[in-house]
Amino acid sequence: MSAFEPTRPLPRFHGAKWDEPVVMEMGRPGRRGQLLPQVEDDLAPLEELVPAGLRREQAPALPELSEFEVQRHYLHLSQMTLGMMGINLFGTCTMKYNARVNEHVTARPELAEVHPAQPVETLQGVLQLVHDFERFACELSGMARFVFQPGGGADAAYTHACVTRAWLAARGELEQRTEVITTIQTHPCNAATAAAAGFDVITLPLGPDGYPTIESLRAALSERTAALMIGNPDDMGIYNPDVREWVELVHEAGGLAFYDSATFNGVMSRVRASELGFDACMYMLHKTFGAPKGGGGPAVGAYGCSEELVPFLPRPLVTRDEEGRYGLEQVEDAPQSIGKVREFWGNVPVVVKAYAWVRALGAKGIRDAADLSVLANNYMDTRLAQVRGVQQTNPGVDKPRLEMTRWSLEQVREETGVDVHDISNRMVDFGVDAPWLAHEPWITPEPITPEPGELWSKEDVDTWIDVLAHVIEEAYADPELVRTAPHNHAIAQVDPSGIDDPRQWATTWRSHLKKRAAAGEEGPVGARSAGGVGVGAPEAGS
Amino acid sequence: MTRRVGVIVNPIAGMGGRVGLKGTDGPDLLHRALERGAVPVAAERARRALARLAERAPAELEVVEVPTPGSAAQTRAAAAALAAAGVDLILFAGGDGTARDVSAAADSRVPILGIPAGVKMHSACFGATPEAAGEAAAAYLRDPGPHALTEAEIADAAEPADTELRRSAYRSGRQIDAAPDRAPLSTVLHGVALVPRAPGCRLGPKAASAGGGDGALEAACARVAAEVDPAALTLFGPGTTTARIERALGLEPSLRGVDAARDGRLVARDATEAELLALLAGATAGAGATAETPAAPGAPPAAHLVLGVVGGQGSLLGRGNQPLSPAVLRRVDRSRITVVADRRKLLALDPPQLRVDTGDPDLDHDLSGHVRVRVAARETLMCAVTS
Repeated sequence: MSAFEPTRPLPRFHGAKWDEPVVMEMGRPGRRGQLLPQVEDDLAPLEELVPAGLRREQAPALPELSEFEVQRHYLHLSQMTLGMMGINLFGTCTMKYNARVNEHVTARPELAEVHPAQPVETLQGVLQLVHDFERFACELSGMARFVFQPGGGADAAYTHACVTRAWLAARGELEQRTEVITTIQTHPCNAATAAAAGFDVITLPLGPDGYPTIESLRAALSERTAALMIGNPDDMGIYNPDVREWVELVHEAGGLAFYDSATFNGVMSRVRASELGFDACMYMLHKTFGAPKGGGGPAVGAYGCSEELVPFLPRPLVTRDEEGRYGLEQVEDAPQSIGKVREFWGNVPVVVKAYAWVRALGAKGIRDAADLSVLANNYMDTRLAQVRGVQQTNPGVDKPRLEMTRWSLEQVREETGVDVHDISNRMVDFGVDAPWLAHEPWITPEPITPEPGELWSKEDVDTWIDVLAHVIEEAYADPELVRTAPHNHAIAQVDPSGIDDPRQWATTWRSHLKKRAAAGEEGPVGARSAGGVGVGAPEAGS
Repeated sequence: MTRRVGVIVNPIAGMGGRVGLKGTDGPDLLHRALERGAVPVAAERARRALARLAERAPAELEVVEVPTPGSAAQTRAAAAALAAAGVDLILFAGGDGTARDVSAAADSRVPILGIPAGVKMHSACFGATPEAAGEAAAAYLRDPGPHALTEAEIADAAEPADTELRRSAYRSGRQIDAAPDRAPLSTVLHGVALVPRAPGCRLGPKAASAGGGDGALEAACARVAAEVDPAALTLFGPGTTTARIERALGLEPSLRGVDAARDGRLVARDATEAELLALLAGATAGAGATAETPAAPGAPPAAHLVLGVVGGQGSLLGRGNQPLSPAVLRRVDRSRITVVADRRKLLALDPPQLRVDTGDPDLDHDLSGHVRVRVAARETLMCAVTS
């Protein structure tokens, strides 16, 4: 193995820091952003226009600022926001460029100003987009139908648990088949949603090849098996080559097989869920399909299934008749449907952005994206393996990883006392974003999971690796520097000690005022008046 | 070049196990073990390890013998004599007490390796089984040297007399138990020894369980308690996890012994093998029942065994629960064994598997395969079981 060589000078980054109070404490009485015209004389009096029960007795205590002051304040807040603006290889999230043109498209009145309760004759354009995107998803997966109601990946997993329940009930096996099988490296939402739907979960640990042994699956299967819910590759990038046999065994035992395709990026257009025998699968449109994510914003866990399970899908589903007219098949039309898992048709703007992504790439572009994401990760693997103290998980597995790889910094922690959180905190000092560590449970000590995807250039990937290698060298030379990071940001380290004490934090201004008043009577607590609210307040950095 | 291995067999090691004692340390416990009908076990386990060593040993191997020790002082003298004789490795059959004495004399200058033969084996210097110890010894002797060695913690269960040791361990920051209220089951670190680096062969150090506040394990215990049939004879292995289930059933657990309950009360506490066999004989009508040959109407339901997992050793049977002897285990249907453990404890196992070492290779083989370990109210973890 050759020695590690940095490729370029490290970024000389420094974050902005604006020492401003929260907006509720800004402004002066009487200052206005907009001057509204006087009420016209011939309008009826307020008492006649607004019922008594809806009228305020006092005006709301809003801050009084000019438009410019408001705009400047929020610009400053965005500049002090850490993350998602640097080089971001946040593993399992498949970070992609969210094309700005999609925001303009989804803001058009044909989408932004329609309501799903309108007559379907007036929704033909939107319905066509949803219908066509469903065909794309079916083509990529081999599934018969898709529904876009679930509001995220976990919601889609829950949808599957509910579909499984309905399917079992229809076969008279709901009492008998009570167990769902998953694996320790499948996203924990699969185990959690199965348990929430009333199933007993059996989790399979990893075997010597980096995925669970088929013997452990056989030991778990029985006449009680309801479903298998797994990802492949798992989020360590290891693909289980026996997956087709796994699905066959589950079918022989009488259960359903669900493919959590959260890690679809590396196998897009190369692996179809139906060809592996799966009965259902899930894509995250806000990850793999280029729609924005983060901040708890709108998301879609697209859930697809085989013909056999279509009767149980949530409704409405989009239909198309022989004349090419689009319509909606409602819950009332589908007696076996599990009903709705979310309002109306789900987050349609996300579907439209995913539609735009598929149309922009085309079939060849999607295949190239998958191959590039695997190539980029294997390039990363080669360089990361040269960095001191960085060890690939499952070192005995010599197969190349797919679109991401889990690494362990345990050796660095053992030799320097500096852990992955410290290293994450220090990496952001160089203008790259913190790495993803790992889903719970951590079966790898001190994990990091970078995922370069097809977006990031070789220069970006190299810079990210150079920063990691530099920070690790710092950990050996000056561990205190890393432990006290970040040093180049508006916020240094936040003291989390009060996080379990609700007296010390508040999520609204009103709650903050109440808790501050209570603290004045009961003694000191963390809620403070200036600089922010509760423990999330910016603490002065160095 | 001729390699030299020194062999020590503690003849009384492990004798207390099947008769419900927590060790055979010192003349008092040995006397009580003999009174209860204990028979020697260490020599047979040493023979199994040496047979494997003979198969896999380097071409030229000299076995250095010393007079058979019996007391702690004799064990230390024997180990010191072997160290002075310049052996490449001291292979000893015993438990934690023997490991303490051997490692003290070896003084981190001579590598040591334990053949598991004791009641307690919290130290990280033991082969997983006698055969694994023989295998690891052979591998080391074929290619000895510092590159093939690693450090292992020598630990033992804390006894009242260990209070001062516990304090000093705590002062030096090396205490490995985390829950003061679980002191009766905590382990104390006595030192560090050089042992062969043999992945997969050695037992990990016993990981003391974390303190309270574990909702998943609490819920798992509550579910198992709810599934215990009051009419069935239910045996509880030792440990804090099974104790939680016993307490949930209103029973007062012995913590370090095997308990038996029926009809909502303990019928044996800290039981011996003989007591368990007698109880099982009373429940035989149901115990042998299977789908093919159901129990007679009115017969008591089949006996139920509830087990925990011993810390970082991943030991299911054969460590600290020896009253659950092969004869006892053969009277419990495999489908009536429930295992409960802290998920973090299982995931910390390296290698990630449970071990059975009942002393009966045929039974160990029968018990091998996979077992579902309940880790939460609605979740089990499938664990491979090896012997």
